[in-house]
Amino acid sequence: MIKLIPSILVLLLLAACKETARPVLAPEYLHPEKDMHLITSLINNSDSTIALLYGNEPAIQYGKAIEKVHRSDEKYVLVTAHLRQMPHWYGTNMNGPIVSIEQVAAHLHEAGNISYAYSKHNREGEVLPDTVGQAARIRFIIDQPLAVAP
Amino acid sequence: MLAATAGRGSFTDMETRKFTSRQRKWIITAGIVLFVGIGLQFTSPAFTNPPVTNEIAVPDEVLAIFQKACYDCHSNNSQPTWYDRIAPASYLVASDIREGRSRFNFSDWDKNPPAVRELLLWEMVNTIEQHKMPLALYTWAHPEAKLTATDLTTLKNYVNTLPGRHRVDTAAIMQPDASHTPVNTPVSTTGIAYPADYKNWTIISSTDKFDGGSMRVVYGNDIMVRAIEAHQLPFPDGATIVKVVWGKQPADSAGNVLPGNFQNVQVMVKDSKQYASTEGWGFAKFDGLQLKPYGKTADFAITCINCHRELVPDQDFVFNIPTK
Repeated sequence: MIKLIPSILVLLLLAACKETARPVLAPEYLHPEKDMHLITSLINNSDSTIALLYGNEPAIQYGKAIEKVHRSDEKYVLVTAHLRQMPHWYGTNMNGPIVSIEQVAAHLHEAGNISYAYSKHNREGEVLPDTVGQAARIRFIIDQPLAVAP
Repeated sequence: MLAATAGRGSFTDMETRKFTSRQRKWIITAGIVLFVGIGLQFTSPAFTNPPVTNEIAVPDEVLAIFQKACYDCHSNNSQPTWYDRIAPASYLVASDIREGRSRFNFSDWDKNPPAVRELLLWEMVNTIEQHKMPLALYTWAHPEAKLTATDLTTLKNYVNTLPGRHRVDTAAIMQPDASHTPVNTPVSTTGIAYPADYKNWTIISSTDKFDGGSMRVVYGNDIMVRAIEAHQLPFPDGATIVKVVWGKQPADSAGNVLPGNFQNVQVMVKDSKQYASTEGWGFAKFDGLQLKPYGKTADFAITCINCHRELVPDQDFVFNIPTK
């Protein structure tokens, strides 16, 4: 019995060590966009980022249309995350912490022309500096082709 | 005094008898062990090497690593040592060889389609990197089979030269039309129906699977997402994930890589009773724009779970979940 107690303690210790090896889930890497659907995914190995572009229904319809004419009620959200090696599999990289969230919303003017409001912030809502110029960034986001998925 | 002496004499006699009795037990036990041990040798499994039909063709330095650490169980050129052939160890060795050859066999390599061969090679790298292979008991008995960091680097360098590593999708992007739309909801041989509403679910991860030239977006249903938010592992029954798989277009001038052609949709459904033999997960795959269910029988799920079981047992056998 005297020998048994330390053995049990060692086993419990080993079990506790094994427990700490269990991965910690990271819900903060998720960024669900209500009433929006995926337009496409973008990988950029130069920047070590991976991004998901979401759009509302008008934006999705634009993606499906053969004649490409933007509508005034389109909304887009581009969520960019760090690209990192997938744990447990050398051969795949996956999203990590979110780097930025860019939002583009179309706006119809009385004259009939459409302008776009653009914002870029981090997951905590802090505004991030615009480093590439809004016009180019807006065009990049709204002109992404819709990824084919049945 | 006499009584005391008589008493001591009696105690010594008992000690002698007890000691003799203990010895007798040891002798009997040793005899039984010897008898059973010798008997076991007559039923010990024989080790045979079937003919080599198609040896794997890899660079010499890679082949040397496989021969050193893997061939005893994963080829038709097993070379058990004399102590491997002694029962009861021989039973374990025979079982490992049987299991190893059934998983993949370097001597029967062309039995696997090219894409599977590549996947197996990447899987080997990963099982070695995570110290799952070669088996610890095997390297304990065969120290010469231990792999070094240099061996692993050699293997990594090799898999990075495989065609899938650099595959890009340059074909025109196929758009779905009426001819692609299945009349009925496709159902996998594992009993899983194509979950057409997955696009309304939450995306839980996105990946660049550069080992095979594909990119993926992974959706989770409400049960799955709630479990992630609650840090709940293992995942509850009803949790479902859907992986949408595309090829990869060549990178643009800014380095952006966009989805190429749609390849397939892969599904994992947690049902601990229905899929008890595959760790509670049901697997399904629907190929191409016509969403053709993959696999002639439900046995393809065994291949899936073999890899998941080996590499991500602590993640409830799921790779594509967001973890720190």
